[in-house]
Amino acid sequence: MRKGEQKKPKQSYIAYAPPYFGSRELGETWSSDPEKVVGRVMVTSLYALTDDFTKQYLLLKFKIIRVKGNVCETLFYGHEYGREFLRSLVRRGSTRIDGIFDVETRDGFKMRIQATVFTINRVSHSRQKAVRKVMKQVIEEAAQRLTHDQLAQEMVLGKTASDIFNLVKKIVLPRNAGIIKSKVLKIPDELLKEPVQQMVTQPTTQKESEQPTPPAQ
Amino acid sequence: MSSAEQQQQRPRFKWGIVHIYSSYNNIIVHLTDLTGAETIARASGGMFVDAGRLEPTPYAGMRAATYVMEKAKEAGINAVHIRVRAPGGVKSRTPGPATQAAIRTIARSGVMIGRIEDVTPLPHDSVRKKGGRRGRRV
Repeated sequence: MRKGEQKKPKQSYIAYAPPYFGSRELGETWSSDPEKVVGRVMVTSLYALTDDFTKQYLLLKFKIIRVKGNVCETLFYGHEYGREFLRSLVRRGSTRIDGIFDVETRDGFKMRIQATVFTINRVSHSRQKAVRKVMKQVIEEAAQRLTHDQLAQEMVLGKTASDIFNLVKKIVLPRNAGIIKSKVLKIPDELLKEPVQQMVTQPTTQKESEQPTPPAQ
Repeated sequence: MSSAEQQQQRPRFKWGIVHIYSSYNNIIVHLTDLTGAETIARASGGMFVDAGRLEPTPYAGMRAATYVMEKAKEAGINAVHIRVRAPGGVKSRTPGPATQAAIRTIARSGVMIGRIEDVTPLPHDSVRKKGGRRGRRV
């Protein structure tokens, strides 16, 4: 600890969700250098972003791509169902059909998306194959049509999942369909080109921010 | 700025993540910021007991968690997420005996607890478990 005290004090940086997820505050991180903040990933649940209590199991990842002052700009970096929730879906006597697809969105993001369908009864392999084909169709079509932020929204809020559900209904009886996991494999270079700006906040402003905020009227 | 107004209305929490790694040989309680990149405090079972066989005990877990939560208060952290982890992989997938005590201590220390997650690394397939065909012969 003594060593750490000799180093220069760390500034706090506040990360905000991207505008397509409501620009809410995600949380704070500390660093001695704004450049070190870039690339850090924050995990939050959809409940924290939308106040929808039923969506607590859905975890979203946001990557910090830019720092301005002490505000961090983030990017949707993937999502995942909570482990407990996913385990609660798996049941004996029904089939779980997974499909993992690599797609490229309209604006050049490469993403890996995992869709899963849980059926009511056991399903033969040929039908499983057909279901997987449908998933692939829906996801690839969505990726071609949408940009990264639109795709992120559709996946997380359940639009893509319901598309899959409705198409799969013709082949098997689905119990549940969902995009259970996604991650960004590659961010287009143009997005990352803008240089990191140096800190402009003075120590005085930091002290102000430490004081408790006045109660709202 | 609508988001600024929202912040004022909500109680101000300073969040952290407590990573608890708990095996049958030791426990490590590690407090970081939300990104996991900045360490605030870290403690292990061996810092509080002398014998190696006592490192995974609930007592060691409690002491380690107490130490970390004291540091958390100094740093102004008043809300934490907890991420529990066992060795995982081909090794044990259930956390050790110290976990319960550590979580309980954190809960009693007065900070708010958000998510409690199990983040044990589970392989989709794996290599052969050590010990050989006839198992570990003690």
